[in-house]
Amino acid sequence: MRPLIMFGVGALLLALAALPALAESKRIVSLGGGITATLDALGVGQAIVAVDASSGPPAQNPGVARVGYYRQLSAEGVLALRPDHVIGPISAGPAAAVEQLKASGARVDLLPPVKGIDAARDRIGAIGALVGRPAEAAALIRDFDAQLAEAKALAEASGKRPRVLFLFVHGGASLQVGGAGTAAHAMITAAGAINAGDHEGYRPLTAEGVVVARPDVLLATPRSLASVGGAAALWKNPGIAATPAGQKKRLVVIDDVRLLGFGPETGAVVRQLAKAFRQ
Amino acid sequence: MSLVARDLTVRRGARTVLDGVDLAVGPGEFVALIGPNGAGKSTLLAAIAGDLEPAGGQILLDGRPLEDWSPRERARRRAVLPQASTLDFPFSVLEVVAMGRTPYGRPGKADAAIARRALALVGLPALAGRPYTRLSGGERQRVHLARVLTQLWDPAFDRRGEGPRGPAPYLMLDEPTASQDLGAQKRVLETARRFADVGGGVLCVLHALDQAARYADRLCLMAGGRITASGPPAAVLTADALEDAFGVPVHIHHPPELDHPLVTAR
Amino acid sequence: MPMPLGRRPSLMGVLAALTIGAMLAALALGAYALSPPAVISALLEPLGIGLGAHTPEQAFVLLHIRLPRVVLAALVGGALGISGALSQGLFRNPLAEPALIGVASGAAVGAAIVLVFGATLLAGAPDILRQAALPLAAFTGGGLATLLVRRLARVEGRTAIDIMLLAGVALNALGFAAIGLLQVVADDEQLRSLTFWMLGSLGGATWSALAVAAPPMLLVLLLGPLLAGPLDALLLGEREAGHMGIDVQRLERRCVALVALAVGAAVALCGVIGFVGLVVPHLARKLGSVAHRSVLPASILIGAGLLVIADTLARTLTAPAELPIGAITSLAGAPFFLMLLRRRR
Repeated sequence: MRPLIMFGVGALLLALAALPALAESKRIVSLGGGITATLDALGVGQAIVAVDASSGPPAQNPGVARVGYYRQLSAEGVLALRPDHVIGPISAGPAAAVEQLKASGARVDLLPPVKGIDAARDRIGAIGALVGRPAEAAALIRDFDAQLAEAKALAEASGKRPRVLFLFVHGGASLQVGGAGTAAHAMITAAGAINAGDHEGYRPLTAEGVVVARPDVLLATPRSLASVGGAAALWKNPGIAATPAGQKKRLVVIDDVRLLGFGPETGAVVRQLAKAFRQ
Repeated sequence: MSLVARDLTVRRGARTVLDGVDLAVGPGEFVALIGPNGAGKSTLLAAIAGDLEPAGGQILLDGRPLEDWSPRERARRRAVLPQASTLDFPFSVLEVVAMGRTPYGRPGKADAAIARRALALVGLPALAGRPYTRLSGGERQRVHLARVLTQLWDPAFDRRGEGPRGPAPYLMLDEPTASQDLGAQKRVLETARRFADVGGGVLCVLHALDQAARYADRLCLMAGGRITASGPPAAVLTADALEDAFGVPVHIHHPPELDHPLVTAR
Repeated sequence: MPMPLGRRPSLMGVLAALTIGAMLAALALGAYALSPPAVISALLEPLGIGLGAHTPEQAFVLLHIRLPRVVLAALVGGALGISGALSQGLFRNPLAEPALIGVASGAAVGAAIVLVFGATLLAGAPDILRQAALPLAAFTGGGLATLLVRRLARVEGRTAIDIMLLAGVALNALGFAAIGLLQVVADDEQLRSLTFWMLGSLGGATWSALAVAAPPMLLVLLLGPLLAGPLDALLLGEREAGHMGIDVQRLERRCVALVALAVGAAVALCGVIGFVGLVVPHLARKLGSVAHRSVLPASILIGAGLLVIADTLARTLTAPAELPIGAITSLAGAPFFLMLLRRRR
């Protein structure tokens, strides 16, 4: 009996040890900013041969190929890179291209959508398992949790719940305000603040709407800010000028992949926000 | 066996432009519609062609109401030459003439031969390969005359271009000489005359009274939407009737070297 | 009429050869590098001729990604080409083009409505109906738009070209507005599909998609050329065509049905691909005769060849990413349209 158990445990251990080796992906096509950043943080950036248009380049491999927007993939374009593993969000498409990729024999893993902090945390673990880096993933998650705890402590210590309004430029349109259900909403709330945009989804910014929202702080991405002509232009907006944020010129600017990508740095970003909102 | 308009009335808005007109064209007969501008000649031709919705009356082809004929059947018995046609694509002249074979289904070699003979009949055999869009207005009109002849070729002509082959076909021409030079006018009217001589019926709107008198078997003088006089040229072309219709005094000459009268305004 | 033009059969032969050549070249080109021997070897294998000069992956890329796509491009190009020729014949005007006069927009709106509300409206409907809903809606939208433009633009038996073009502008604006409104209620994924519909892509080419879209398009390619004689007669005018024995109403219904069928099927699978229907019949007239018995088949062949070329550009220019094919055809077609407009004055 005992030798048998020993044998069983030994076999299991062997199998576990072999698992990462089996799952080792040599040529990864990574779709989506958060997923690419996670792969990079897990230390497999070298294996990434291509990313989509919404990803930043992996730090270890800045010259990777670009396969366009992840919802408009070309099956042949992706296959031309001879990937052995395609990782992306479930919304990757078009359906025909995804079908063809799967049929080609490449390993295709599509992950469920991430709409909040907890899901972002879980996705790190899932990706770690997919590429055989569970230990690295666990370390990332520990750090993630620690940063979130710090953010919470910071918020509680201050005793303040500032109202934050997120401004975003959506595909060349006018300035939009992020409401409930957006990635920005999740980040603002996690940082212990109140999202001043109390509608669903994105809405165009109107002067009167801003006044009613009464934000204490404005949150924006560098690209959005540049598209409206910089912070100076923002303060001249008649609506914004009438708000507490406008009067005190309170603005937090943060890169869009970091803020909205739900990548491995999400915990750190939340902590950064919790601090910045209360300065 | 005839083309008949019975008690035909056409209104345009509140205005009555044809007022109870009766007209018949029989096989072998050349009938010319004459009269002043606005008398209703072209309207009558269009109404008999079936282009207008008459307010009253009937059009009969071989005793059968026109609307009872299928479009294709009708097209094999009756062709209409409008005053002008619009065609902005550079078809070859022969292609335009051969369009007349449309009611006979998928065209073949025999149809091309017919088109060539029709083109010869109107005096333009040399233009067969020319782009239609390069022709003068008068040449275009004769090409269309060849086209409508091609459309009625089978019932009108036998293989040698002589006898009628079936029930009489009817040719309807709206001022076919309008943009033609002197020689071409003669050619056009002689062609129409020939069509009647081999057994077809011709209904033709004409402005020139002496041409009408020379080629037609019968004239219908129109004024104010009615036919005011009808009969052989000599009977219709009287000073009184013409003065009534045209509103100007006229001279009627009978030159001894011609077998038809000449009309001039006094 | 096989008479005045001795060169006509050879023209079709040359066009067919060029189109097949373009298709073969398109099969050899793409983001995934395939040598000509590998292409030939992979193509011959299903026919039972084993040359063994290719890997299974190469065969997969060629037979399951590239081949259906090239076939779809040829089919859609042919269908759009003959739709352009049929609508130009019906409107008796060389500027009548399905995308320009709003037919494609109508089809896109039909498709968009099903896309956004389909899941709700067709909940519980049989699978067949749910799959057919999108093409059917595109067909209906395209047909209604064609009829509407035709009715608006026909003044006393003639096509008023200004009204036709303005009606097209209005219908296109209406299409954009409707799709804009649909965007408000659409979720993110539907939103992307909507944008895709307005730009066009052949990325959806799979054998199963082809099995659905090919029959209606093939039907148009086979039936369209039969209308050559009546359409020639119609060029002389509606009355003249009537006098020549053409049932003009019936001809109109057939043309509208064929155009809506071709454009509907193309739009349902590939989105709006503009200007093909405008440019192709012009080239057909330039290269051959203006008679429809030449224009209709030549438009099929030229349309097929050009769209195969355009799609090859879309696939390869920014590889491994892809360009929207509608952007490529419009980029090439719009200046052509402006030139035509100028020449007509």
